[in-house]
Amino acid sequence: MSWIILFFTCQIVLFLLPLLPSLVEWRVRRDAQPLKVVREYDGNIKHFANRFRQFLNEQFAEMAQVTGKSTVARSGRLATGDRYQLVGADGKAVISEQEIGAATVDQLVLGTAALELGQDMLYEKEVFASGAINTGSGNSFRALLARGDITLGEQCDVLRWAHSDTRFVASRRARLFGRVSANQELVLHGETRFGRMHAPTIRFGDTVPAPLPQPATRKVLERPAKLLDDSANRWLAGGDLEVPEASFHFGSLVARGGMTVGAYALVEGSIKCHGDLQVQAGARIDGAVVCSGNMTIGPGCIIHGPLVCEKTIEIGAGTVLGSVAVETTVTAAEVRVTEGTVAHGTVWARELGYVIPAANIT
Amino acid sequence: MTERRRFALQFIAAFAGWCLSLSLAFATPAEPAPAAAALAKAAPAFSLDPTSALHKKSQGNWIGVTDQIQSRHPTVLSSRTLTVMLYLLWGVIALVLVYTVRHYYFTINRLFGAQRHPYLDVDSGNWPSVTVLVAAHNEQAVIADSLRALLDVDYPRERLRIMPVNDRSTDDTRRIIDEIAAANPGRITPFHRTEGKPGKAAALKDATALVDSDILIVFDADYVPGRGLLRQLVAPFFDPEVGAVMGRVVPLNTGSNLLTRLLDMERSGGYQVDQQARMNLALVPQYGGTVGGVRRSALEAIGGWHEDALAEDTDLTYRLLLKGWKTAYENRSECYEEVPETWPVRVRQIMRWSKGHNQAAFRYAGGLLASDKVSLREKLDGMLLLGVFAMSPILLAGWALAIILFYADANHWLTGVLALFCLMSYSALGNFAAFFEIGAAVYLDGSRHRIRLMPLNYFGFLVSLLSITIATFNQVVFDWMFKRKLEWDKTARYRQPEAKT
Repeated sequence: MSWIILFFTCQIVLFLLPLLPSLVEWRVRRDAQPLKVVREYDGNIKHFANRFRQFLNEQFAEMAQVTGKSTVARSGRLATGDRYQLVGADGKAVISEQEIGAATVDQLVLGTAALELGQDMLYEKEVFASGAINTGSGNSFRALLARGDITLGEQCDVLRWAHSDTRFVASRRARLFGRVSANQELVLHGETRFGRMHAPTIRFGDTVPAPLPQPATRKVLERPAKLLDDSANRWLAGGDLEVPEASFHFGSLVARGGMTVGAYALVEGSIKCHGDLQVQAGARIDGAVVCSGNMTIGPGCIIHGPLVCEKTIEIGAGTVLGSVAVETTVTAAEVRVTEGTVAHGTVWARELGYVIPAANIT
Repeated sequence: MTERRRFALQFIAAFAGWCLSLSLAFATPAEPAPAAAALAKAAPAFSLDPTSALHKKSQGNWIGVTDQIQSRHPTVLSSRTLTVMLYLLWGVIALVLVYTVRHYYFTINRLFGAQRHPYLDVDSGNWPSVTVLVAAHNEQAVIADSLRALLDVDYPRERLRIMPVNDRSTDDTRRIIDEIAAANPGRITPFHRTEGKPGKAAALKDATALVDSDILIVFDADYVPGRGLLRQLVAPFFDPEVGAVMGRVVPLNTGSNLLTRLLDMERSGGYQVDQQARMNLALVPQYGGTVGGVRRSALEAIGGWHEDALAEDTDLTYRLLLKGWKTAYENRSECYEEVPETWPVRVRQIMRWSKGHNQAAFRYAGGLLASDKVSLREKLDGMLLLGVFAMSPILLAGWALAIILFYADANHWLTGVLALFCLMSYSALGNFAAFFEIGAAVYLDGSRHRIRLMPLNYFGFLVSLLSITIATFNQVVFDWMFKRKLEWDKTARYRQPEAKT
């Protein structure tokens, strides 16, 4: 009898043994909380800038009173141990010999007025100015925040984020790795690399070519012989689709293959294709442009809706994306924009953004 | 070594072990000694060696496919009957293998493949007009939280309309909605439905008739959206091919009891791996009926909501697909929901899903195969998705076949221990691949300890298996025989109602 009891006991133990971690977790409940869903964070590009501004307001409330009055730089240390320097109205940060030797400033630089920064230094902590920030060339910044304009010299890097309450200008060969935003305007010059940017107006280069002349009339786009679907004001084509030059279509176009929108064509709707998309010079699209392949936007185009591409977007000079009244988004793994282009809203390159210098336009 | 790399190495090691064991199984056994050979001749026709079937057979019959079935009890089951049963068993095993491959493919894609989130970065644009429909039937416990969260979302106010669809509630739902609407003039348009067909689809159909927005977003009353959720859900509609969008559902009452914890893991597998993999592979992500939306023009083009659909979400997904519209899945558009806290509620919920899904399968499988608007890969995935709930009764039938063949047949290798192992290994109480999927999802979610509950999911799967089988049997036999109407069943809520003011 005892052998039978022992046998069944062993069976139960053998059955329960693999379940032991489960049973322990069930009873101890070490990981029984709901998965974290961030409800408050709304993806705002200014998220970090706003948090830093809040931090400044809490830690340096006196800065509002001393703005522009103190001419002597003051240094101190935060409760966290981080060093900071309040820069006076002269706008010259005091940089020690040791810091110059190491080419690294490891303290918060907080300008009570405008800030003038030298060149070839790495600013490991945030830089703030109540006025404008002007920098020399070859600097690297962790983060920048200014109530005035921010103007970066050539070959400067922004590692995390930068925000200007007015205007942000990046000279040639800048590298803007993180988020960059301005309340009025962003200007990027040739050979600049970027990631995520937002401003009511983003100019690539200083000058914009004159708009291309539009044709006096356009032909209505003929309905392709075979469409998979034409409901809901949308034409769905099974393969490639070509919109001829100077034609007009009211409604959306979807192609399961590639698509070409001819020069000076006008589409009052959105377009999408699964292959590569080519929009030729002077075309106008009032809706969104979506593409699973590569997208090429010719010079002088006007696109009002978002540009969403899963591979590379290349945009020609003179193209205007969105408007001041209705901002838009340009997003792709790689975004290559030629100088002379203007975008209103967000430009977001997930892997690489690059400004093609005007001299390289072929 | 990073977590991801460690996980990859563990996976490779497990795969190598599996290959090694398979190669051993295929290895030709050593020549038996003369005495052993004499003994073997006297041995019975079937062997208990589970790998015996993989040993090399005679020329042209190496896996024994042409072995003749030989009934041990011909008066009870003839050899011909057993042959038919054998081929049915083959069919079941093939189906189970197909689903297994599907689960592994999705999981490996999710772990190592390129991830598609094409609309996630759409931050600015000419946002379309949106009406948020909040389906509510006796939702006094949860409706206030949902409406308050919706009032706080980041979306242009002039383009947003919130419409609680109060479907014949008999509790305090109406009072709560009216109070919140009065406190926020011009922002909430209540729709109190007092008559008409019961069911969410019928209620949504009536509400849609009152709406002229471009986009309809649908939430259940127990959902509490975050501030940025609405923009994320609307962004895919800039794509003119997208007809519907689906966000991710995250259980809020995870810690209530063992059932909610198991459902939490199951939901992770379903969304974090299954839905996202389908999005990555341009297959058929499924509109889930809540935390999602539909383009109104597309909805009108397919004939609106089908009020007789038990699973209006699956129904809509397939009707859109058949007309050339895509459903986009947004894995990072997360929203809390309540999951059932008691087994009877869970059983009723999954029986309803099962009936609705099977209803969609009967309606759309043929059209899907014949459609010229759907790619081959979408057809394959769409068919497998339609068949998900049909697999439970098929699995049970496979077990029954294997057991009967095991006892009744004396000859064929497949009816031996191997057949039982096939079914037990691949499909016992679900499917090991599904567990791999859940494990990967929990890993991707970054939750470390809850994965230990995985073995207990067997019991949850067993309950689901039986519930779905019963529901399918009822649907096919009794509902059809007695022309019973399929009825919508509301899932219970667990939050406490707000106090009367």
